[in-house]
Order: sequence, then structure tokens, then C-alpha cells
Amino acid sequence: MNDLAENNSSIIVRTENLSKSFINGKSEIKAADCINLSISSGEFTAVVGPSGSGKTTLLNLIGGLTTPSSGKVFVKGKDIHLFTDKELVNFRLHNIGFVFQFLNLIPVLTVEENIGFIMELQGVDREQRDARIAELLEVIGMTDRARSRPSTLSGGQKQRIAVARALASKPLFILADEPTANLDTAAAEKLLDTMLLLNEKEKITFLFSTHDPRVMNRARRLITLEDGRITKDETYVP
Amino acid sequence: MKIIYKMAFRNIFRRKGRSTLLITIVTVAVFAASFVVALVNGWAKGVFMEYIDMQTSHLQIHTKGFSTSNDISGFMDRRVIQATLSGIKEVDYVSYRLKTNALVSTAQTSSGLTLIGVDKEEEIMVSSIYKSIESGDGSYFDNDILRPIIISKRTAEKLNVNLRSKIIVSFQDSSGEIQKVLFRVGGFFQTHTKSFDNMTAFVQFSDLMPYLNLPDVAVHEVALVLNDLEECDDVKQKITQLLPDYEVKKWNEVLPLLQLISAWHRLASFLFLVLFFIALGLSTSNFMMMSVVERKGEFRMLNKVGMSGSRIASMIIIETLFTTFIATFLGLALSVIAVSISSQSGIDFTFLFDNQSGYGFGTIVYPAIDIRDFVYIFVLMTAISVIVTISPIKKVLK
Repeated sequence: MNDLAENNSSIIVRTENLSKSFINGKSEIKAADCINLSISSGEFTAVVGPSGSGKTTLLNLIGGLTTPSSGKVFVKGKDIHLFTDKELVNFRLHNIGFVFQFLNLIPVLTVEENIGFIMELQGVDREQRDARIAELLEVIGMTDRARSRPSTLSGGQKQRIAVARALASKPLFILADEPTANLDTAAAEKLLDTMLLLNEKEKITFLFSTHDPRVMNRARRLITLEDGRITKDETYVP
Repeated sequence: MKIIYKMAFRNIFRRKGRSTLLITIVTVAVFAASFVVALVNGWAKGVFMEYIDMQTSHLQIHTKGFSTSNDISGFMDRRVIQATLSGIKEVDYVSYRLKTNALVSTAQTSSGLTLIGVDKEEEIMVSSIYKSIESGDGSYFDNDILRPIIISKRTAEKLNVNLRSKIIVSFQDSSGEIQKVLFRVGGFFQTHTKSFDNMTAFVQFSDLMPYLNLPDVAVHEVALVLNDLEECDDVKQKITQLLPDYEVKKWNEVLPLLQLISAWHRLASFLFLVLFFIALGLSTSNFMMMSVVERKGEFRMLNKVGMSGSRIASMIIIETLFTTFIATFLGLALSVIAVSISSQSGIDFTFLFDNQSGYGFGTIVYPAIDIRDFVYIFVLMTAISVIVTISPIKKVLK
């Protein structure tokens, strides 16, 4: 699969000997160890592995949230770790959508304002923004909660809004770190349905970490990490 | 960036208790600072108005050097002055005076002072000395006494004289001859300035003129009241241009002490405000630090999704500015209300200042707002609001 992806002209993310080490006392922990992978446009990929295997670190490296110890991350051919901090923030704003495990939404903004947040930072005009918010609210089935504050929503609803926010501005890809970790089965299923629907409908690339079997079963590609190394990379045809 | 303003404003009300406490602290502080400054303004204004009303008027015209020498040969031509002033519309009232050094004597004692010859009708329009004559203390040239002299109560005590007592007033005329003229005490005035009371006596212009051996048109001092005190500088400039041989002085130049008081008052008020708001800034900083640090995770998330550090910093600054603007507005509004109430009746500080009244000010203070102080407070509060966010912002963006 890696070979296939690398040869594909629609590759949007590519890592080259990507490594990240943390020093813990006197010992060095390799959270990412010489990782080479490519992600193509439209993929719905899960990074799986036990706790501490380096899933979150890999996502953070790809998202430009962590600086690698060595190696490179190319997004659409650009080595993002050569950017300055300011350029990197701007790059993330315009190219990457994020869904986190916790603390996704801005508590003082309503659901619709949260969804439109990234677009507003990008300077998208109001009319265009409102149309996109309405469209996404309908897709995630939360039109009736448009004016609600996040504190009044369930965990599943919050995560769906986070997904809607992440892809509202149509980024190159979305990084989701354990998006279903705190959700019950029904909420997790609904979130996955939403993500898959958006993946198909909007052709948005998803790369997410999980150790949730429910999520793994729905992924089209599974990258397995152990001790910071890729041990398996499998693709499933739906 | 409308969203940044929206978030900043809503963040204020996120922790209602803490925001209310912060707004209350800043409101009370702004109120206290502005009211104290209004009190000091009121006191200073009271002092200035007292001096202007009783002693200096708005502007005075003399021949050059007269105000330091009181040399009676340094007189001006009334007709020239009248012609000049008639063309200046800002001048409301004018009093033409004669002025000479004199020795007042009774059978027991004597005292040196400045004798001022005034026209009653003119003088009451430029000076409030007549109002300081209490009932039972005579009147301001209103009785049937022949050649009356108005002296201060302090001088009366010193000379041991009563109403209608005879006083011999000695002075030099323009030819150097000593003139001794009998006056009778017509009234006792009293100001809050000991030195002025001790050194001043008033007689009628017409009673003094014949003994000075001066031309009929001679005057030594012209006191002016303008329709607005703020026009002093402009009018002074106009008169100086029209009468270049004469010396025109503003009220605070007639008494340089007033200039000093005015300068110190401004400086002290400003320093007080700066120090006060620095202290307030330190406590505000603590509140902002708590408010920002507890949202560190949220700011980190915002940065991850693409909100730049400068936008996050702007949001924190705007949030602080919103909070302090609300509080500053409330504090200043309270101050305006308190000043408008207390400026009607004044605040009596007799218990503090009674012994000071001899140094030139009354014991009732009428607080006064100077718009300049409100601007200072607003600018200081804005500057401090920005400064206090530096440390929390650095912490959160680290």
C-alpha cells in the first residue's frame, strides 16, 4: 500500500524517516521511529496501536504541532517543519482540520459560531460562511441546535460539531486524535457515520488515531504502530 | 476580526463572580481616584476663585514696573485705556484704580499698607470684597460717613479702631510731598488671606485723587473681568498688542503663588493618578493571570486549529479592555453623580482646615470635575489594562 500511495500523484502527506524522541530522566523514549508513510487524497485512515505506541505523536508531527527530532513531513510537497511558527499556524489554518479528544469547542460560542470559527479566521465572507454552516449542520443532523452553547450538548454532539468545524473550510485533510475515546457506542457510531459520510460526500481525507475496535472496523486503511514503528499498513476495500 | 471581539466580550461573563468582583474593584477604584481628584480640583478652584474675586480679577493693566514699585508717578491715561478696551468684546467689566503705599495711624499705633482708590460702582463688578463685609461691620462706601476707608478686620484689631473711628492716612504725592489725610472707618472686610488683609485698605477714587497731585485722567491699575476666565490668554495678547507700553498680567501672574499652586496641583494630581493606577494594575494583573492560566488548554487548542499567537494576545487584551472600560465608565459615572450632588452644597472640611483659612482658602470645598482628569484616567486605565496582560499573554503563549 505504501508503494502504491507514494506513486500516486494525489499524495497529500508524506513522511520521510520521521522520528521523535523524548527524554525521560536518563532514558530516551522513541515515540516515532523512522516512519515513512504517505496519505493520499480521500483516504479514511486509522492509526492504531496500544497506548504509548506513538499514535498521537505521529498525528502531532504530521499536523505541525510537534517538531520532529529528525526526518521530514511533506504536505502537498512542502516540508512543513521548515516553516516559521507564524507560517506554520497559518498553514494549519488553511490546510489542516483538527479534531481532538477533549476541549474541541469554544465554550463562549454557539454551535454555528464554532463551526464557522475557522472560516471566520480565514476571512471567508459572511454569506458564504452561513451557507456552509447551514449545510454542515444538516449533514451532522444538528440544525435545531445551531444556537446552543457547547455546555448544553452531549459528548457525541460536541465531537460531531468538532468534525463539522474541522472540515467547514474544506482543508486538505483532517487529523482526529481518538475522536471516539469518550463516547458511548451509539454516539461513536453516529460520529463515524458522519465522518464517513463527509469523507464520501466532500472527498475529505481523514487520518485519525484510535484504539477503539468500532473505529478500526470502519477504517479503509489501518496503520499499526508499536513502539513508534509502523508494523502493519493494510488497506480494505469497502 | 469580529469573532475575536465576540469571544473577548463573552469571556468576561464566563466567570460571573470573578468578573463582577474585578469590575467592582476597578469601579470603586476609579470612583475613588476621580472623586479625590475632583475634591483637589474643587479646593484649587476655590483658592483661585477666592484670589480672583477678592484680589486679582481676571486681568490687570499697569505701567511697566508699577506692580513691583507702586510708584505713583507710573500712571496711565484712563482715556487711552477706555478707548482700547471698548473695542474688545470679551471684556465685561472694568475698574480703574489709584494705588499708593500709605501709613495709617491712630492715636495708639500705625501700620503700613497699600491704599487703593476705587470707584464703588465699577469696583463691585470686578471684586467681591464688598461681599465680605458682614452685617454690623459697616458697608462698602454706602454710609453717610465723610471720606470713608474700608480696612480689614485684622487691621482694625491691630489699630484698635471701630466703625467711624478716625484714621490718619499718610502718603507721598507725585511731587514727593507728604500728604496726611483724615479718613473715617466705613467698614471692615475679611478675606481668607492674612497678608492681603494686613496690607490693603480701600478708599473712594474721588477722595484720594485730589491729594496725589496727578492729572484727572490718571489711573494706576485697571482691573478687568472677562466674560470667560478661559479667554484670559487671548485677551491679554490683544491688549498687549494694542498697548505695548503697558504691562498686562493674568490673575496667576499678578500673584505668582497661584501659578505655583496651579502647577503643583496638576503635577500632584497626575502623579497621584499614575501611582494609584499602577497599584490597581497590579491587582488587575493577578485577576487576569488567573483568568488566562485556567484557560491555557483552550488557548492551546485555538493555536492548534490556526489562531495565531497575535490573535490570541489581541483577544486577551480586548477582554481586559472590555472589563476595564465597563468598570471605568461605571466609576466615572458614579464620580459625576457624586460630584454633581456634592458640588451644590459643598463639603465642609472645617474640622480639618479651620486653622488654615488664614492662608487663602475657605473650608468648604466644592468638588469639580476637570475633563482633563477624566482623559488621564481613561488613558491610564487603557495603558495599564494593556500592560497587565503582558505577563499572562507571555505565560499562555510560551
